[in-house]
Amino acid sequence: MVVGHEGNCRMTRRPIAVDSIRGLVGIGVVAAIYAWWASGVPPFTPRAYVAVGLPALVFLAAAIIGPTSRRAGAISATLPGPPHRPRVFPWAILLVLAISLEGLGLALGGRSQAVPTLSTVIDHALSRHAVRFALFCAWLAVGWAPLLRVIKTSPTDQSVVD
Amino acid sequence: MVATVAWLTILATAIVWEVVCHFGNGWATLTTMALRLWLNPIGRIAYVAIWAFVGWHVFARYTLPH
Repeated sequence: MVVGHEGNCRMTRRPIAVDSIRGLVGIGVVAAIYAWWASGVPPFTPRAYVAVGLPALVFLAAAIIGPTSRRAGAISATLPGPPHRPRVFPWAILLVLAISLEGLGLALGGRSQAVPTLSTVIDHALSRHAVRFALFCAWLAVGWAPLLRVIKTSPTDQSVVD
Repeated sequence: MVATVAWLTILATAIVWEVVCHFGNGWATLTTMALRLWLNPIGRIAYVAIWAFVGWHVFARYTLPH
């Protein structure tokens, strides 16, 4: 089922698959419930490893044997060449800054008050369940975003490239 | 304190820059780079490995500060 401007109306908008939206909402709700449970599990416990390992194993299986691995080849053929250096230049600067800061923090022992590592900074934020929940949702979203995008994108859809 | 501010600045800059790049000004977005990595079979495994390590390190092995 699709909705959109059809019939005597002008085609001003791409049709939106309602089933697709429902599916995404459903995935989002299930992911949020799972994230709430997983972010409440104490660290260094078997349940904590299961909470992180379960989505990782499902994701790994989807990456290796899922339908996206077949569709990826077709989508890859529609992409233009790799971005040249100036287009990723700001990201390279941020990456170098982050690696330098992390390296300095590790060189000072990893728990330095003056130069904490990224992990130490995040640990402070993780002392609240709501923040852990938000970060866990973000972690799931970052991991699953490319997979969902490949699933939703037909091989001829050029909008996959920003 | 200075380093903590530096970390927060780097993270905030990354988020803002990602949003700015989504307006199609010709700069690569993290989303696009992640998709390019995902479309390569080896890159896909690397992406999953990095992502899983981050989750394991942050959520399964974090230590509450005293």
